[in-house]
Amino acid sequence: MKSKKFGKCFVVLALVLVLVAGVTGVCTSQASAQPETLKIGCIAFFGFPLGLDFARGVELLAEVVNNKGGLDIGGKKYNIKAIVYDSKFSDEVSRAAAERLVYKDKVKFILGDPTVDAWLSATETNKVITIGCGDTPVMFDPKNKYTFSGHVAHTEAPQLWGWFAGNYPNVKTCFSAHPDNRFGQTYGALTKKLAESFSLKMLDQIFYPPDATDFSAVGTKVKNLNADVFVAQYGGPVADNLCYKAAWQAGWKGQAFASSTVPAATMMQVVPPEAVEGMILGAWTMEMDTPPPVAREFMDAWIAKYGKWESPEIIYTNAWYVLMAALKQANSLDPDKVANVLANGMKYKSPCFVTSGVMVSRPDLGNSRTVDTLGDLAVKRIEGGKAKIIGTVSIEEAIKANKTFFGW
Amino acid sequence: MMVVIGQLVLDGMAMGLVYVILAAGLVLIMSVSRIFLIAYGQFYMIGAYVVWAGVTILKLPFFVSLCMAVLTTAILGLLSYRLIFQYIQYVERQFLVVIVAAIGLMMLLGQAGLLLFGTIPRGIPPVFPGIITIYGISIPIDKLVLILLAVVVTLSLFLVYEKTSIGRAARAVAFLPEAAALMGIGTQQVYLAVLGIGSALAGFAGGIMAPSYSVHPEMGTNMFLPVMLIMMLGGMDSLLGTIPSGLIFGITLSFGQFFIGGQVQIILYVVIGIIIFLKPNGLLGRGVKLGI
Repeated sequence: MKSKKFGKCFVVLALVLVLVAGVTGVCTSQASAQPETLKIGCIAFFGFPLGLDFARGVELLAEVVNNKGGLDIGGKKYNIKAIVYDSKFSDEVSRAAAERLVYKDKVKFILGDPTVDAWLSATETNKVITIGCGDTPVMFDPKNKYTFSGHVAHTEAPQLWGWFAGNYPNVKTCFSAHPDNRFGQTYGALTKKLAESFSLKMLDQIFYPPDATDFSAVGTKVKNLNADVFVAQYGGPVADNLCYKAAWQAGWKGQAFASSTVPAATMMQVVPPEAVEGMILGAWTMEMDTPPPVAREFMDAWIAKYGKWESPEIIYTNAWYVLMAALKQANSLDPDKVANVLANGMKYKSPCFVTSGVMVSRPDLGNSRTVDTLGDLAVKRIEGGKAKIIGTVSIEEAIKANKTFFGW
Repeated sequence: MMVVIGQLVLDGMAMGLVYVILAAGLVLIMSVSRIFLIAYGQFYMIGAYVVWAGVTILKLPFFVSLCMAVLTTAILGLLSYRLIFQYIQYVERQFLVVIVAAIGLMMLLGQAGLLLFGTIPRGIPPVFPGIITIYGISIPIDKLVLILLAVVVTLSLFLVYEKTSIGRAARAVAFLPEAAALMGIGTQQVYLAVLGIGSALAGFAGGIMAPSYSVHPEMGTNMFLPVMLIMMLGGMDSLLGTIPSGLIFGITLSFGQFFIGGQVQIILYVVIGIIIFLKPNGLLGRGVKLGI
C-alpha cells in the first residue's frame, strides 16, 4: 500500500518535472529569440535647436530600428536603447556625461556634439567608438583610434563655395557679417579664407554685437560697399536671416549666399520671402521634390511621432547614419572591427546627401585614416519662399574643393 | 556719405524709440514701487509672442494682436504684484528678497515661454509691406509704423504722468511714499497701477518689434542689459531722461555697428561710465533715493 502510494507520488512528481522542464524550455527558447539591447549614447546640447533636434532625431531613429525588429549584427537582433544626456555646451558637463555613459551605462558607442574634444580621452581609453560632430585637430589626431567625425559643416563649406564660384564666375567681391564672439570671429576668419580661396575679394567684414536686435547698420554697410555677394553666417538662424533682411531693406541688389544648409522653411519663420529671394545655399535632401528613401523614411517617422514635418536641423543626426552603416558593414560590435570599417573609406546613406556620404582622410592633419566625412550635397535657390534645387556637388567635386581649401 | 549718415540716424532712432518705451516702463516701476523687476525682459518677450500668435495662428489683425499683447502683459504685471511683490515689499533686506523673487519670476516666465512656444525663432509676415526711399534713404514701412507708434505711446505716457491725477499720485509716491500715504494716496493701488502700466509697456514694445525683427525665447534676456544702461544714462528716477538716453543709445549703436562692429558695446559702456562719473544721477536724474 505504502509502495503504491509512493509510486503514484513519483509519477505525479515526474509529470510535474516534465511539465516544468517543458515550459522552461519553451520560455528559454523564446527568450533566446528576443532581441538583445544595444545601448547607444548621445551627448547633445538641449539649449538650442541644433542640439535639441539631434537628440530628438537619435531617439526617433532608434525607435525606427526597433519597430523594424531591431538591428541585425552577426545574425543577432539588437533593440537600440538611446541614452541621451545634455552637454550644456560645457566641457565639464559634457565630460561628466561621457564618463557616465562609459562607466555607468557601459555604452560602447557614443554620438556627440562639438564638445567631443573635452571627453574623447575617456572614450579612447575605453575603446568606445565615438562619432562626434566636431572638426578640430584634437579629434583628428592620428593617435585617436576610435574617434571619427560625423559632422559635415566644415566640409560642406568649401564644397558650396567651390560650386558657387564655379557657377557664378561674374561675382568678384564679397562682404560678410558674423557675431562678435569667439564663434563668429573664428568662422568669420574662415569665411574670409574660403572666399579668397575661391578667388573672391573680401571687401570687408562686420562683426555685430552677439545680442544685437537691430541689424539695419549691417544692411546699410552692404549697400554702401555694393559687394557682389553677401554672406551672413554663424549667428544662428535669427541673426543671420535678419542680416539678409536688413540688406534687402537697405536696397542692396546683389547675390545672397550661405555655405550652410538652413531649410527654407526655417528661414521663412524669421523673414519674409522677398528678403531672401534668389539666395543660394546648400540643401538637405528633404527639400528635394522627391527625397531619397532614407530621407523619406526619416520624414515619415518624424511626422508619425510629432504630427507634422517641422524641418528639423539634421546636420548632427548624420552621425547616427555613420554609426549605423559602420555597425552593419563591420557586422560586429567589436570596436576594433567597427573602427576598421570607418577608417577605410566607408560609404553610407544619409538624408544629408543626394546619393551617399563617404569617410575621408585628413592628410593635412597627418591622419591617413578616413576619420572625416563628406557627401554629395544638393544646392538650392530660394524662390517665392521655397527651396528650388538647382544643382548637386558630387563627392569628387567635394573632395576637390576641400583639397583646394584645406590642402588635403 | 550723407545718405549713409541719414540711414544710420533713422535706423538708430527706430531702435532707440523702442528702448525709450522699455526704459520708461522700467523707470516707472522702479522709481515708484522700488521693485527691481529683473523679469521685465520676459514681459517684452511675451508681448512679442502674443502678437506672433495673434497674427499667425489666430489670424487676427495686427492691432488687435497688439492690444492682446498689452492686455496680457498688463495682467501678468498686476498678478506678479498681487501674488509676489506685495508680500515682500516691506520685509527686512527688501532689496535682496525682491531680487530673488524677480529672478524666480524671470526663470518661470522664460521657461514657460520655451515650453509654450519652443526654441524655433518665429517671424511675422510683413504687416506693413513695402519700402519707401527718400533722398536715397530706405525706410521700410513697418519701421515707419514702429516709429510712429513709439512716439505716440511715449508722448501719451508723459502726458499721463505729468498732467493727470494718477500721474501726480505716482510722482508723489515715487518722491516720498509715507508722505503720499498720509495725504490719502492709496500707495498699494499706485504700486499695482505702475506694475500694470510698466508691464504693458514692455508687452507693447515687444509687440511693435515683432513684425520688424523676430520673436525668440532669448529676446527678453538680450534686451534687459541695454534697458538698464539706458536707465542709468537717463537717470534711474527720470522718466524724461529715458528719451535722450534711449535715442543716444540707439543711434550710437547704429553708427558703432557700421564703423567699428562689435566693439561698439565696449565704447558704449565707456561713454556711459564717463557720463555717470560726471553726472552720477544720469542725464536728467534728480537723485531721488530709490531705497533699493
